[in-house]
Amino acid sequence: MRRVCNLIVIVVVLATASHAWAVPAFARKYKTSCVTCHTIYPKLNPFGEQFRRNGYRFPGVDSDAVKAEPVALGTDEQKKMFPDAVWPGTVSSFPPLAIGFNGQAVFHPDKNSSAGTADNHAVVNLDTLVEEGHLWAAGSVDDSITYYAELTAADGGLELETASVFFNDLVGADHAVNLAVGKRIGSYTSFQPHGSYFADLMMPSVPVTALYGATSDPFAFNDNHNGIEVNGVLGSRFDYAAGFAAGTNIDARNSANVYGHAGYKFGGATLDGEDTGGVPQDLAHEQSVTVDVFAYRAISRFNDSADPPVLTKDTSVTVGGTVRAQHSEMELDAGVFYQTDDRVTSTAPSTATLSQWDEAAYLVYPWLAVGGRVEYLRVTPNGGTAVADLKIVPGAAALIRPNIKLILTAPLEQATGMPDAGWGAAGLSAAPADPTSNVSMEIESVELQLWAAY
Amino acid sequence: MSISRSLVIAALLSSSLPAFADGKISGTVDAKPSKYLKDTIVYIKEVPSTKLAAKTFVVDQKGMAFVPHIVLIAVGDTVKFKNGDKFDHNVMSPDGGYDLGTWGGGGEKEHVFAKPGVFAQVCKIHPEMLAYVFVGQNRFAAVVDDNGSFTIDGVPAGSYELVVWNPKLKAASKNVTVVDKGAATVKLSLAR
Repeated sequence: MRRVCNLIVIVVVLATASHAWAVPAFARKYKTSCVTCHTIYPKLNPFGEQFRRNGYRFPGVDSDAVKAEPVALGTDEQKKMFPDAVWPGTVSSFPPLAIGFNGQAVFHPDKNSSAGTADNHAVVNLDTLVEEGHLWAAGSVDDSITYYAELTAADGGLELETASVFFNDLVGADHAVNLAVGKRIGSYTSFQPHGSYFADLMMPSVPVTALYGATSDPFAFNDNHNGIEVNGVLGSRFDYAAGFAAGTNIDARNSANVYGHAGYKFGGATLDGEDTGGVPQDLAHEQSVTVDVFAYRAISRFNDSADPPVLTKDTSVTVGGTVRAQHSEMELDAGVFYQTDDRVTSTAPSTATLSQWDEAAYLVYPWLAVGGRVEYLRVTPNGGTAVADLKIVPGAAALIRPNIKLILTAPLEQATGMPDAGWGAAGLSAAPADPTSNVSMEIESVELQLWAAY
Repeated sequence: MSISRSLVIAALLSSSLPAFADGKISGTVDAKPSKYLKDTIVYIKEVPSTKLAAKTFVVDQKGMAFVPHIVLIAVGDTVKFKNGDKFDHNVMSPDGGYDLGTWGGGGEKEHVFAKPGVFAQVCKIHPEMLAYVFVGQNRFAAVVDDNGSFTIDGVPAGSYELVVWNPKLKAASKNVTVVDKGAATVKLSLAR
């Protein structure tokens, strides 16, 4: 049973691994340092968030900031001739690509901890010292159409994690109505999904059906899905998104996932970098609070853990909200979502899931962040007993160079029971002996991650 | 030089330029973003009582490019468009509303510019090709150099509106006064 669980965990983690982060293709395009947009990548600073939110474009007219002039596929005069001429565009004068890798050395101070046990009681595990390789493509077709893609290579093979085209400024004022088409994480908050210093995703990914043993197509709303999203920034302070996504299904079905998000930023830099009223934006020391709410309704079809597996249909509804507060070099993030699933296995009752997370980080220097995060996950089967996991991750992240970084974390974890297939599918380590057993707070590991991008 | 020949030259000069036409306007133009400084033209909008003899200028299409990229002419002048490549080119202007057609290497066609303005010249076959024909009310115009500097020579004494044109950026015009045999210096700024 444990081997099956481990296999499920590996499959799920690989399937949901998502490291959309710094893209040196942009550094080449604008001839600017990574730290123009990032603090310690992939974490975006307020300017980088504006750039991302604007569809990977600088505020104002994007081409004004481009220094590596692209090859023009026609002059602007062609626009005057349309429809008797092809609308002009550009291609990058160099391949708009970047590469990177990441991995970690894992130490188990307590080799009998859950994570140490999963590593066969190894004290030092270098198996994933180089875990993933990445190829990014990012750039613009013109001042309104942009693209972003990421291909990741790992032990599980190649995966196209992200591939999106952004049609910006479609209607009304600049940034008011944009269209994002492709495979990506939807916009559930005003900020990048990978905005954590100490974890892959700021908002934890919780594939509930996998926690109950789904052997195929585990669904988490904040994974990369194919879909179409309309988003925008109104009045420079309010942003929104509404999307329609394929989600995850074992067989071809009508895509039925829908979601929406609304956010508002008080103080600090504007969300889109426009309408500053002539007031300089102190991007490195802003004081701001941003509040977001979101909702997601999904239908997923998967094979459950029965033998033989039973095709199961789960309908989930998720509502949540986040708050980000920045006070100069200090940033605090907090968020919560509540999700109901009506059928996590063919025979199980419905479940209610609560995920809550907090992260605090302080930039001691522009290249060094210290802090930590807390993740709390509770799953309650209808009529059953709630199981919960608490993870505390103190950490530090440091840029050795603008494109090379180290992250040191020491995750601590405790669990009160566990879902049928354990906590691994949610990226958690605590492994109670059975669903009703507990794991006291234990140090799972000390991890030193190395990331590089070129 | 014979007296009659001198009289002819004097008559020609008097037909094109007012008296005391040896003033000068020079200056610099800066642009934000600076990469768009290229293709900036500075010109005197109107010189009273200008009467010009029509001229013919040549723009070649060579190596998949218009040469020169910018040609400065005056109302009534002709531009002869040549094809110096070994394959077909076209000449048309979305601003001027004319299409001279498509012709092969060695061929040429002419167009008379009857109205002032800046007329983009494109080749419908090769969308990346672009030239500008600047048509002034007079011939007092200059293209700025890589540093943004320009000089307009032979300006008659008087007060004028100095205008800047750029494909992407704008600048407010400036009034400038040129005294007899004098030099006026102007600084202009282009921005979105």
